Amino acid sequence: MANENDGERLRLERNPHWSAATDAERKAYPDTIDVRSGLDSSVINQRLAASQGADAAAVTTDTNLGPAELAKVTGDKELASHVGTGHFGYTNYLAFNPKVKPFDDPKVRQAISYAVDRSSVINAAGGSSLAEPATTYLPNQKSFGHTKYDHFPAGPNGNPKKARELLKEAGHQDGLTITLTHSNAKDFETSPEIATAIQDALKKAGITVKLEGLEENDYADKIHSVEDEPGLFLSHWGADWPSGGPFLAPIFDGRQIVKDGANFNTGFLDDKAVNDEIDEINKLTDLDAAAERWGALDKKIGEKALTVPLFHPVYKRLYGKDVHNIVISDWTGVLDVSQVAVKQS
Amino acid sequence: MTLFWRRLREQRAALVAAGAVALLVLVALAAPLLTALEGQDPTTYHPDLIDSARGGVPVGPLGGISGEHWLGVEPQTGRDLFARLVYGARVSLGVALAATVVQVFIGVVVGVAAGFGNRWVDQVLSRATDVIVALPLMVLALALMAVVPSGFPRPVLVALVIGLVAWGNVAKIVRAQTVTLKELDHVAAARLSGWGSVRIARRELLPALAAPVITYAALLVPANITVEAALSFLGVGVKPPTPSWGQMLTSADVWYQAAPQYLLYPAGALFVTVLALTVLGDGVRTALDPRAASRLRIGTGRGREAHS
Repeated sequence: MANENDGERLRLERNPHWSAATDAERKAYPDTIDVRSGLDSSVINQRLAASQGADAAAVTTDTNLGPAELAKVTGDKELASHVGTGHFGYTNYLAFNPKVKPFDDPKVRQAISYAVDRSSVINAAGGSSLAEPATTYLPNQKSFGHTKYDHFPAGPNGNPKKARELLKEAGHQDGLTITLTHSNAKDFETSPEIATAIQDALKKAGITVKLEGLEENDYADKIHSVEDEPGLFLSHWGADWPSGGPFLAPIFDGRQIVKDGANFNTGFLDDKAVNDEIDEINKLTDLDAAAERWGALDKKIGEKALTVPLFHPVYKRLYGKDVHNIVISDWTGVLDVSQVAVKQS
Repeated sequence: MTLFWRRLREQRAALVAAGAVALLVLVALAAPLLTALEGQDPTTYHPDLIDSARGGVPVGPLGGISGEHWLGVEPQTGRDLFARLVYGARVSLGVALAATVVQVFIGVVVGVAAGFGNRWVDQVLSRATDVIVALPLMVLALALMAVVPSGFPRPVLVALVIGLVAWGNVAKIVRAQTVTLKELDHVAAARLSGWGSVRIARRELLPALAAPVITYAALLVPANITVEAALSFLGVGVKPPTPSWGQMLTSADVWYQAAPQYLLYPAGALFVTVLALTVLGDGVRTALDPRAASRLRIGTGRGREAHS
């Protein structure tokens, strides 16, 4: 192994002691792996698309194709065949702060849940190849305990009629003006494009949305502060390991409300039944049984309409034209280098 | 003044440029009318006109150009590009022109006062100008934008902030020019005959300052359009969904390969605006300078036919 510039470039050689007989997980196909870091994502994608010289045998571990890059790649049949697809336990959602009016009223939160147009949100996030609609808080994989539910069915394009009915019941028959806080990061997750798509959808339900775009750090400080948390904002959560626990506990466990630090329980839910159920499931050693109960708990919490799940991301990654056996881990969302093979040329 | 118009009319390039500027302003003013004619508006989403599975690229050739969408649609949203371009012209041109007016006004007042005033006035104003020039525009603009309540109309605020923060260079140019002019015979004569400072500034200095100031102002406009774009990009400028050329450029930069027209329209509009303003500014400067005609004619072989 050779190291240049403190990890900017690593050259890994074959381990002479490795044997397929004792390692069922890794394949060890390549003789050497040349690791480069510190490259710009657009440069990585350009080089993989060109596949010139050594780049023909190159992969990226975690550089995703953006919407414009995907449009270009899918327009070229040869390139389109060198795209790997991966998933990661991740949910992008609208978060409510029920301490802020009018979001203290469940009817208002439900109305917004009905009014959201998930197809335009997904288009803003990069289209149907890069995002899947979410109606559950848990990601759409079995290991997380994903249990289908859609308490406030908005359909693909939103249900502004139902939203209007709920607003009328809540006493907002003359319409409603609210503020949606988002970040100005160009990440297609909490960025202005997503916020504008929501604004457009809620307009059809008679809700006027004012956008408050914050600089990235300012945004992160505000949404994780118990005191300054905005009433309605774009948020996201990814799992530390594939289970319902690291998804539901930090967000919905009342004992995890952090008063003087980064708080992630955005809806300030402190429900004894929920807290106890989290403890109970954590004691289970049967993962399948635990997954089922995480799913049931997610479905139950969903009824409170403290969040509006929007979409789960899908990762598309280019790889060099001589590379084979692309596996992108559903756990980490990262391309598994131990499985990669290179065609001899 | 009639002499000025005659001289300006003699320059074909300046006339074409003036026509282009007039057209741009007209398009900006008539944006609601033009989009009504097209039957579109700048904010409505058209999800059926984009290919969601391919990252939201517009369906159809040339970015989805059709009888209904004259310049095609925006990737990922399907919003009408023509409507966004003409509405964007309102914000971009309006903000940039208003900011330039503020910059030129403050710059000329400060510059003339510094150049023509006594030593103390000059010292105070010149140092103040130095501070303004040295201050990083973006940081100051960000700070100013952050303290103003959100109810204040954004485009007006952006124009004011850019105008109030970036007048230093105009003041410097005007002061330098004023100091030179002060020594000239006609200004000295005016002073000796007992004219007041304001009257000398108005009658003797301003006409001579017009040439450099107008030329510089023509270059300020495109710079201001860029600053507006940068502020909007940082989220303190014009808010979405209000379109501006700057915003269009920043969101289009990644699409240059997959949907080039998305980038080319605002870039082209900006190019035409900058070129037209520069040529027009140059024409105005030449027309204002009584000696320019004879100086420019030297060596071109057009000396004799030219109208004098």
